[in-house]
Amino acid sequence: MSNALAPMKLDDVHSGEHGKLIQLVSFNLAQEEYGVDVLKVREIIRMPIITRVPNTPNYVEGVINLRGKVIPIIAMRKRFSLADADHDKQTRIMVMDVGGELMGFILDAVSEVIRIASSEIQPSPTVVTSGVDQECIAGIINQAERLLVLLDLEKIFTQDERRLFSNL
Amino acid sequence: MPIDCEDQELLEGFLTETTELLEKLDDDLVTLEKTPTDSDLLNRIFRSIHTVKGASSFLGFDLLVRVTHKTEDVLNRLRKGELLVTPEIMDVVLEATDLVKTLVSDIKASEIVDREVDETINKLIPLLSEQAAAQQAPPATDASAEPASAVDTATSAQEEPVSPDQAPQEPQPSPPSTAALPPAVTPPPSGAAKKAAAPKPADKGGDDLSDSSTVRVDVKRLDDLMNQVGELVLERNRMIQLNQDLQGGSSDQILFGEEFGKLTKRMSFVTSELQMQVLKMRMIPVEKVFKKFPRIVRSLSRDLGKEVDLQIFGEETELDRSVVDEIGDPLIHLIRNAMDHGLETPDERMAAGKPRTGTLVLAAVHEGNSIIISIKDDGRGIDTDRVGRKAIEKGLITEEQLAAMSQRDMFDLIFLPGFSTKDKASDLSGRGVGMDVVKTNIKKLNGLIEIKSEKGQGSEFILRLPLTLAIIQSLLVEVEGEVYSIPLSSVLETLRVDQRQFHLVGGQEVLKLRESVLPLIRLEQVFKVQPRSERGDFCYVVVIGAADKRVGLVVSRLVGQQEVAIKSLGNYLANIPGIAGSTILGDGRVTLIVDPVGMIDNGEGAAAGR
Repeated sequence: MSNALAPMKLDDVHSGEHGKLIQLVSFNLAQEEYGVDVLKVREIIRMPIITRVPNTPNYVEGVINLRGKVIPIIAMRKRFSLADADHDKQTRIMVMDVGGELMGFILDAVSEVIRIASSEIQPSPTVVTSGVDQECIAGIINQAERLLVLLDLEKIFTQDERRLFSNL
Repeated sequence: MPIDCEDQELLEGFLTETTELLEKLDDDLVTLEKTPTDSDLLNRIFRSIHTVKGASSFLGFDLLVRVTHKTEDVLNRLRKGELLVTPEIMDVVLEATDLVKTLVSDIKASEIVDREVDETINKLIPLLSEQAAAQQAPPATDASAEPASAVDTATSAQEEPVSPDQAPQEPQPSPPSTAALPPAVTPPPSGAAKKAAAPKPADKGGDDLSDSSTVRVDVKRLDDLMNQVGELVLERNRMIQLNQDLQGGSSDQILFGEEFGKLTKRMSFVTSELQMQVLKMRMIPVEKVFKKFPRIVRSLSRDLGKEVDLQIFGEETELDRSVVDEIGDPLIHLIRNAMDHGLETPDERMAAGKPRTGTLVLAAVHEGNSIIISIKDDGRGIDTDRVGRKAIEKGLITEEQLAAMSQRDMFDLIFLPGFSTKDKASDLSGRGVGMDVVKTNIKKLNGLIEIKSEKGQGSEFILRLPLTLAIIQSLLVEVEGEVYSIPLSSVLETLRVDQRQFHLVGGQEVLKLRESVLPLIRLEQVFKVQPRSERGDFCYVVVIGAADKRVGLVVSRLVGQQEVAIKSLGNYLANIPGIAGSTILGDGRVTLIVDPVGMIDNGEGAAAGR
């Protein structure tokens, strides 16, 4: 009985130390590297034709046709008030599940899927380098040479913005 | 308490069937009151209740069996002519039906609540013992009565299980051999059932009983659909073949062009057929909503002490189920409104020289691509003076605004949120939300509502609704390089106009069109489109109208007419002013659909504000 219990305990300690492994999709935005939970990402596509939607906040780039479904596209640079950049061959749209709805985000480039232990995530410092809102930063990952900002896109729109959207 | 039912499928079948029967029952019962001698009708009612009883006893829903059993007994006496149909008896029977509905919706919500059923049952019992000689059923509760018929019901599954010739034998005592069967299938919660410690009596008549998560489709329609799909598959194979030939270079250009042209035609034929078929499947008669109303009108007229003759026309008119689901509530509001505010009491009517009984006409009719539902009463009509005064009292409008209003505008005042002519809110009305809700719901459906009313003569509410919410005919227009789609149903005409013919009236651009002055809206301004450098003198004006309001939309070019499928923009972009939705064009691009009603309100507002 005690023998059977011992490994389990060890295992608990083990996972407590390193946390469970999570997978992140990392992408670039104005020279910074960011990451989002891979489970939230539906697909990554190249830039299609975007239809502008009038009378929306400037970071709403428009809507696209994703295999018969119309989904809104958010320009991440504009959302985070970063300097605007032209779209190039690296530019991608990452289609994500945000609050149960599909939404696309324009990113400078998507690099890779990385695995990290949840224990590696550190709380974000109060001052952050870029213009990304504190709200949607879930943490910072510091891995040797690279610094990765973990985003929680569920919080990309503030309460006010949500209200704005529904009462536009 | 969750329902422990071994066979989920059986339970679902029971719920579907019972719901259908009960829906029909209400209507039948009200009709019965008017034609008490209709024995066919009475038999049908009896069979419905009997079927519900049989099925519920088989599944062990004890409370349900007790109520339906007693109701059935009363109905049986009516059927045999031992009792006569009176409003009092019907009240009790309807109350029992409501209770049955509540119990069924409990089952549907998969929890059995201990409800007070004895009260209703006690009302039924005197009807049975009134003429003691003819007493047929023992008043004591017998949970597993009629197991024979219960088994019968269950085995013959969905169809009307009791044939008329069988019916007269039913209320006989059950053979004990089969009596043990129902409890064996599912142990009934008998202890709980007998302790009638009800949290609340059956107050709501199970309004939400009917749902539209399942649909019954005619097998023939389904077969037709399969045929169409078969053809579509053939055409697809043909297309793949053509593509292979082209890729492999085994077909020359001219031949390919010809073949491809043929294929396109056939494809388009098959898809339109398919579209029609699917659309037809989604169509249900408006009767589904209408059949609730006789019951509502009956109870309202008894509550209000008014005499009402409800006439229903065009209940067979079909429309898309998505629309049917949405119009129920607005219609109930309008009927209540007509009963409460419109129609007078019998004495008032006599004094006004009208017949004692008021008339309420509910009619549905197709008109082009829309359906028109009208609710008309011959009551006192809308008193515009009173409406105006009340609106000022409630601070909804100012004196000056009222002075500038046409009669139409004054009718529209009743749709303002917070408007009510009642000084005190009653159960029925007076909170000033109802009509606002009606207007919002109708607007949500892309519909229009119009009021016609004459003081002392009555009023009519006319709803104009689209047949379907999924596919519409639309006019594609280009605004400085961007393509927008305007629902064709609201387009009255299109004109090619020289911009120099535009006039400015108080800052608002207008166009003199024949005898009238048309306010203009420049789409590129509303939608903030980047203007392109060159701009000709000529442009196009699309005249859109709703009810008797019209505005002209200024666009740079007309692209053409197309049937488009409406796609939602999702929650985040749901409420953009002037935009009703989006659609995908043949080239895969997304195009936004202009909201004509929003545009017209906007145009009117702009015109009135200046």
